[in-house]
Amino acid sequence: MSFLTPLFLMGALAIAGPIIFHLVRRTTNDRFTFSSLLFLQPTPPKLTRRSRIEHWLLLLLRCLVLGLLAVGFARPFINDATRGGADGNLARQRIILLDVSASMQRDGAWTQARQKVEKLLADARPTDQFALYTFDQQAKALITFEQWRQAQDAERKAVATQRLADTKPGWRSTHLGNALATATEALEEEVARSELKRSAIDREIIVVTDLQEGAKLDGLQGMQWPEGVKVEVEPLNLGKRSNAGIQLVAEGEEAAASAREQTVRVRVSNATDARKEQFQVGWATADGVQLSGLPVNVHVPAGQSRVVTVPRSVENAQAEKILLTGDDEAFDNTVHVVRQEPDRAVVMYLGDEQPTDTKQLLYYVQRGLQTTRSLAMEVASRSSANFPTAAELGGARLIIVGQSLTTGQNAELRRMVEDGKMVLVALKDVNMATSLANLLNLPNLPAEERSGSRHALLGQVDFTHPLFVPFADPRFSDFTRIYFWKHRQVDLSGVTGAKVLARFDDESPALFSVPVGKGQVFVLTSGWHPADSQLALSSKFVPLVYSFLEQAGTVASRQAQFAVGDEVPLPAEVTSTAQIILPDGEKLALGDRKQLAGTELPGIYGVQDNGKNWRFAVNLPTEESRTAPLPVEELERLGIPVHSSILVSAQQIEARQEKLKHAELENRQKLWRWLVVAALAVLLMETWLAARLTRPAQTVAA
Amino acid sequence: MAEAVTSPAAPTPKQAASFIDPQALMAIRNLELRARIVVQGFWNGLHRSPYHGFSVEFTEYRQYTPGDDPRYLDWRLYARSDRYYIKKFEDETNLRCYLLVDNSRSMSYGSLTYNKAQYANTLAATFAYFLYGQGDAVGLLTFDERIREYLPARYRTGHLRHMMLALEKPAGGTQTDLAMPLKRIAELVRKRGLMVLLSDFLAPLDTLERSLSQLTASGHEVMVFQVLDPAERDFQFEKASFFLDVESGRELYIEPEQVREDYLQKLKKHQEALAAICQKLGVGFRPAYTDKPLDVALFDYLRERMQRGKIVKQRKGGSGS
Repeated sequence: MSFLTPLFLMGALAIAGPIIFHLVRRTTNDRFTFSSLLFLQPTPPKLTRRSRIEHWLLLLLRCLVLGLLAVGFARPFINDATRGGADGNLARQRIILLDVSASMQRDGAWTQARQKVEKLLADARPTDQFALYTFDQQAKALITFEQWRQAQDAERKAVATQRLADTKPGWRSTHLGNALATATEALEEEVARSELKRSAIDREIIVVTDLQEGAKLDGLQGMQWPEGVKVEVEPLNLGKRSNAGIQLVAEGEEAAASAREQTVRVRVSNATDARKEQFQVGWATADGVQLSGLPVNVHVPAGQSRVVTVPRSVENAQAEKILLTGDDEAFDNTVHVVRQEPDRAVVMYLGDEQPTDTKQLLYYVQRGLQTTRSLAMEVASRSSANFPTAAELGGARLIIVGQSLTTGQNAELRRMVEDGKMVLVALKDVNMATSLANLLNLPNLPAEERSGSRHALLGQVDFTHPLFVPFADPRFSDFTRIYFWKHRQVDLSGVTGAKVLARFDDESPALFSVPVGKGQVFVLTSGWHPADSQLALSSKFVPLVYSFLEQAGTVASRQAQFAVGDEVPLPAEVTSTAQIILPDGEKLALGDRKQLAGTELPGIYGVQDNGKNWRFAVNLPTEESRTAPLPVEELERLGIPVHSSILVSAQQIEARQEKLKHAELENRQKLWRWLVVAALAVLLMETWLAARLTRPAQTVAA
Repeated sequence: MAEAVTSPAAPTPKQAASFIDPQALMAIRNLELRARIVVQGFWNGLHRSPYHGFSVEFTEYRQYTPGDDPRYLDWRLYARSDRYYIKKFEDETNLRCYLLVDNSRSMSYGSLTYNKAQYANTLAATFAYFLYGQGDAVGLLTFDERIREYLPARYRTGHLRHMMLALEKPAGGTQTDLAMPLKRIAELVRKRGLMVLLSDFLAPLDTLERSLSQLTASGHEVMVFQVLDPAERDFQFEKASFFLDVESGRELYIEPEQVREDYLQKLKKHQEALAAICQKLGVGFRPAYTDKPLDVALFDYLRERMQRGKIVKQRKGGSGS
């Protein structure tokens, strides 16, 4: 017999009460009514101490009640191993989730984590089912239940330890929610396989992690936590060390190129439990370990962040690393910056026009296509007399035709289109219809001029076509403000494959496309210059031109900053022969992949393809810098039955586990109920007996 | 008189044999019946007694003079002597008797099967019945700390019945206050009469003398009966207990053995003081213990009246001569 709360046994001392009351008591409690106390003087009441106890049975009963209550409150239970302890007969299924995120790169974290896992493996009983998973963004099995089962008893632990030794923390972010979900799925599968009752299995997920604030828990909110699965968090004790992280602040597309060349903006975030607040940020030397030039001093209070502008000096002109110094943890102190060269895009305009002539098409094309951060635009204009060479045409992303071309020129252009070029023909007069027919390889294309007092409007626009998709939103879909004074009505009955993308309100095509070979010819049956329409002056013109460029496969924005673990989309023009150069110098063949799935290392990656070189930087996920411990209550709040051994010694853990076991035993046996029932029964007997003993005395007194 | 207090006019054993046992009497529920039994038994015994014709005292004859009320002519004497004589009485009207009964809560105490209040009421009923039977007017006043019931002295049909009902009402008072009721009765009753006061007098006697003197000064004849329970008289308790004062609710822890002597002494002093007051004012005082027969009290009453009558007569004779 053991007691859960033995201190309550002290309550048994109250037994002394009845004994004293039985020994020492007043001579009488009789009351007697008298007519008048006029002639009476009070006698001081006397307490008589009797050495002899009168009502033994009554005393015993009273003592028994108190004793039973005291024992009941002490929560007794029978601590008998043969009765089956809390986990005596239960099959145990344990999944160890080992954190291998970037924050585990901190000093001592990985060693501690490995030791904890090794100890857990060492404590495993032969009947236990174990699985070992590592997790960062995703959980990955080192040893599944299946593998554990199939291995020999003697080998299991060795295999697990070996696999553990081969594992190292990576640079990805922590997604604890994903990991827990994966673990519960694995446990559920194992239960389904074992055909045992859920209640007969002691299932537990043991999470060995630094449990940092930046660990993502999303996905757990809506999750129905399986019954009977406990979570034990084994946090690492990494002491109180300050950590600050550094991240690149994304630059807007519109940022001025000149300013961008000179500075880079970074965000310095300090962890909520940090004790250091003064840091330096600066360009790192080539080896990446020291600051070079003048560092920027920054003061960041704990839990806050500051954005700092890091200027480039002459000596740092080519540097690609920014370093943060002043905190205790180095793993998140480097940010890689790629000096991104803007993509050069040439738009070829074919027409005899002065670039400064505001009445003509070219003027507006040049104004519409401005150089941006990632795209250096160049509009080349050539007249039919000075027709570009095939190489020049091939180098252009988009070819705009604004005048009639000769048959030879059309044939040249047609070849380009067949190879995949895109041509936009602005049909600014009826005469151009013959040239267009020539380009499209048609005998003729009937067209007639439409002009008059009444202007035309775009009555029907195919917003499902990629060209107009950016305008599909009702906020931007109103084209009726654009008046077309003149347009050419083209009869498309003889054009095979022509697709009308927009029509005027008189049902004549305003914009149509004709596929030619691999490429496409878009035809606008009106010009955007003021003589024909208001299109160039409307807010729709620039987006529409960029939409054409995008159709030509030019404007796909090239992101140059990624986080570890992100999928990196590769430029469209990269061919399968391209090579990827990893930050550690290793080279990978791209093959048929169109994207680089899951980068593993932070640093600067390069893609080499036919002499072209495209580079991008991969940095640490920003959440990993938030290394302050996450309160375990956060998990509890999400409905996860968790118990953690934070800041508790091994003895304390054992004692607590023992206590928990006892509490469970006691809860199962519930002996206190019987004791309370017994106490009530004895109390009834005592009441009855006391009444019997006192009744005659009362009648005598009366 | 002091002798009478310590050894009240208790009948000798021989006498007592002829009295009615109060226990048996009090077992009768009807108050009127109790009174009748006492009075009738008393009458029966009285035939042999020397006291006869005391109620309306004959004093003298006087020659009739014109203007006298012819009602009072003694026709028998006229028949014998052929002379007109007027028969003169001590009191020309009937006696007016007021029974003043204490109904305070202390009267509700009783160690026998009945309490002091029941005894006092029976005694009052007996007096009333007796006097009514003689043709005297009887009035009643019950009081505690104030007057509860007041019936003026009357001699008429049904009056006795009213009195009995008034006496049978349960006592509702709390404490004893003699001063106020006595003052009130002195104010109420203008005609001289007999006042019979029945109380336990278990209250300080400071104002009693003044109150009684108001009555005597009004010309009333006053008789005082102190009704006491034998337990109050002897204090024969044995067991130590808490004694609860019925009037004040005060509680005292009492060891009877220790306090008995002191109690008896104080009671004796109290009774002596009461007797002294009565003697000083010429008021008849008799203790009435509830274990004593009621007839004894009646007997005492008559004897007292006789003595007082003689004294008065003597005084009158003295003053007349």
